[in-house]
Amino acid sequence: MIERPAGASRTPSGPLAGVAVVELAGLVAAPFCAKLLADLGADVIKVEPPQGDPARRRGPFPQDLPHQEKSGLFLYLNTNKRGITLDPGLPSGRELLGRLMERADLFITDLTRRPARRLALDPARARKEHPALIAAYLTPWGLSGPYADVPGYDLNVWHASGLGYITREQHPGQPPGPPVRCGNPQADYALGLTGAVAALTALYYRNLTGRGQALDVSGLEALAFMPMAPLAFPQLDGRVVGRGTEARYPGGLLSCQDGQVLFGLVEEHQFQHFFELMGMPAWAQGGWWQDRQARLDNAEFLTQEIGAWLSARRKADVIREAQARRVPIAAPFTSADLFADEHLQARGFFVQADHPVAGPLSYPSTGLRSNGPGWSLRRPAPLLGQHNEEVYEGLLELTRRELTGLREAGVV
Amino acid sequence: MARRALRPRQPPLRPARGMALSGLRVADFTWAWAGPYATTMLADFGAEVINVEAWPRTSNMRSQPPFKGGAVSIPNGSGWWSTNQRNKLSCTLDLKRPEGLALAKRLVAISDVAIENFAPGVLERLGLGYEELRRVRPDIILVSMSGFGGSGPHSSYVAYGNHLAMAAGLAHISGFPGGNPAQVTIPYGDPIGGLTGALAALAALQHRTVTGQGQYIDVSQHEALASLVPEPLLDYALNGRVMGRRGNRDDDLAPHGCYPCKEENTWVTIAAASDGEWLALCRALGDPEWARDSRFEDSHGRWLASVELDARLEEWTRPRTAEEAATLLQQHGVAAAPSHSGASILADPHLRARRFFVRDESPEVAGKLMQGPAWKMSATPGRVRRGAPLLGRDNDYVLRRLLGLSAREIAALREEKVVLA
Repeated sequence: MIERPAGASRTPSGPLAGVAVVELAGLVAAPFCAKLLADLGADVIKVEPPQGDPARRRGPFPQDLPHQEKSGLFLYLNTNKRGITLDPGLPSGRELLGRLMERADLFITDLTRRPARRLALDPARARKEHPALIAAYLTPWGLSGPYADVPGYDLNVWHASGLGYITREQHPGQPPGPPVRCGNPQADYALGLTGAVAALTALYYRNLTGRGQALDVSGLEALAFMPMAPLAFPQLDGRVVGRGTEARYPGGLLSCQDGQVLFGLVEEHQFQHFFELMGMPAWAQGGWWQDRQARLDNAEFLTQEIGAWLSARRKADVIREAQARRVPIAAPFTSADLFADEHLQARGFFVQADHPVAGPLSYPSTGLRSNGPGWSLRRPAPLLGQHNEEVYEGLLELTRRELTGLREAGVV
Repeated sequence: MARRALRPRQPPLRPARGMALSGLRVADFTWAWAGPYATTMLADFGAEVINVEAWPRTSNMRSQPPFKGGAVSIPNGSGWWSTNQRNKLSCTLDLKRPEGLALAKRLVAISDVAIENFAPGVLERLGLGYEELRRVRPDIILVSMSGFGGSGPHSSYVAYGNHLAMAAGLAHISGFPGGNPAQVTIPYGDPIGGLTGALAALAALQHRTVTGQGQYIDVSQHEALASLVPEPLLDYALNGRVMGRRGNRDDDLAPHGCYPCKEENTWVTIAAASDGEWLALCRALGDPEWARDSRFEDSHGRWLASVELDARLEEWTRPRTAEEAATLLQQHGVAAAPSHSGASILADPHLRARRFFVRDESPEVAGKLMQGPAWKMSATPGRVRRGAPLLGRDNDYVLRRLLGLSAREIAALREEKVVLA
């Protein structure tokens, strides 16, 4: 009953069909936000500066050779969008952008306070000129407050949110190292995802009232929303959550014959079933492990015994046999593991698209499956300026001569 | 892309009263964290979220620490639960009893969205599967959020947020080179799954507004998180290469790190992307002699010499507090911020100026500060209107006001323990 994304051709549009979006943004957060909407059927026009989105200059590239049409990052973040070039800093460029915004339901940008004002694209101006438009500003720190005009990158936001402080290496019983970020810009992606939820919230309201508004979506706040317990702990019982490993002791990341698995059980029945899987060693007979405190008191011994048992087995076997007993064990999958994963294959998680320059490529899809119109990959990311004619002539009804003039003036 | 007039198929149940989702009703069958996180996003912006606590198996968030003074107090004392459940209603129904099940269906019949994060198959076994719900509400939107999705060979696999971070490929690329995979102490897969669930519900509502049709959405939290970790997958697809770990470093930029400060276990992050930001950093440091080294002239040179660069910056950050260092660097236009703990973040001047933190009003933890709404809306701002509900607080409102039961009927349900409290 549930359609797979692989069946994209059967779902030519999605739940957001008919929603018109203009994106003025680069790199990750705001383009990812607009991609989420585009993949669900929205018509997104991506506005790039004439030299292109900076993501075109970030890898991964095939054979590490930079090429503006072959950045894996750009290709992923811009599926299903139409792409035009435009310099909003020039008066005629700004005017054309205004005309696109007038036709749009949503404007998604990563402009921070100062450049937004400089381009007359700040929230107050957007609301005045386009009262029905939803203008979403996805920025590292938000549009107000002392950091508003300070640059901020994924690194800064991740750590400032309180998430870096509690991101730890898995070394059971070892003292923690320094705070660390994730291996890809999670703060940017989580900001983009939060921005998409915010945009649809505003769209719901607009459907009822016809009113647009401005959304100030700050990466810091989107991320700082997550560590709820770490914020509450010091206030309620005086403890500061750090990078220790006590919470899931006994266990942690333990070694099998061919790699590591995460052993982190919570419930008594999980321990019981795991010890049964181990063949119920003599020390596990008494049932004392049903007591959480007893498990903690004997954590070192237990971790050693469990580790010894795991070390003689293959991780895939351990995961399968444990999960068959409803015992949660997972392994730190690599990208190769994910492509080989039978579950993701069965669900059609990876989808193919053929890009005119980069060629055919497998893309990760989505965590959403719908029995109605859902997620689809309808077209690959746009070439730089690919839809200039289509948008400027077809949509804004410029003449060929006017468009040529704009090109010569460097606007397009 | 001519704008289509988007009109609701039918007038909202109640007129919008100043919040984005006023008039939207959600039958919330979620527990643990990912599902409740999804409904928090909706409740903060005005939706009426009715958490059906399927007692006796109530939400396990109610038993999660922290508790005031460290004294375990279930079901109404958890500080984590109280943050996450603010703005929601609590209705306790025994879903394994026919009377409880019938009431749950009646609630769905007057709701726009039903949302749940049981293991796949549980909802059907309870008699609340999509086909059943559609019978009582033809345009219902049902969002099911499981760890690995409702189909596929691993759909029954048990996972917490940390296992999902492992299985989604995030842990393997996080951490320091030569060390072990790293992961967030909180189950990071849950908020990502939760946001994805909220996105699913709102996208489906848009579709319903235009077409009048509801739908069933199967959210795999595993895939939701994997779609936020595309770089290693694309690198593998393009080059057959398995991405490793880089600590706090960046592929192209330096400096890009988290540096130790004066007090024990305090840290500041510093990044400089452009030459302009590098020069600003030099100015903030007082134009030291070492920074004039020709190796630091351009960004590639700085990246190649990043080990030495990090050592120099650490010499500068060590004698300073994280706040002093961050403030001074920010004044010069450098991207810098403390790496906050759950305690130090409460004093962050920026978050305070934006009034991000609000007071919790749930009785047992009243007064603690918690996260306010996750984004700001100019016309319809989110608000914390009520503290988290004591177990069953809203039973009378739901059963009498919404479902029209008489006081006598409700008393009988309490007597029979179909309804708790």
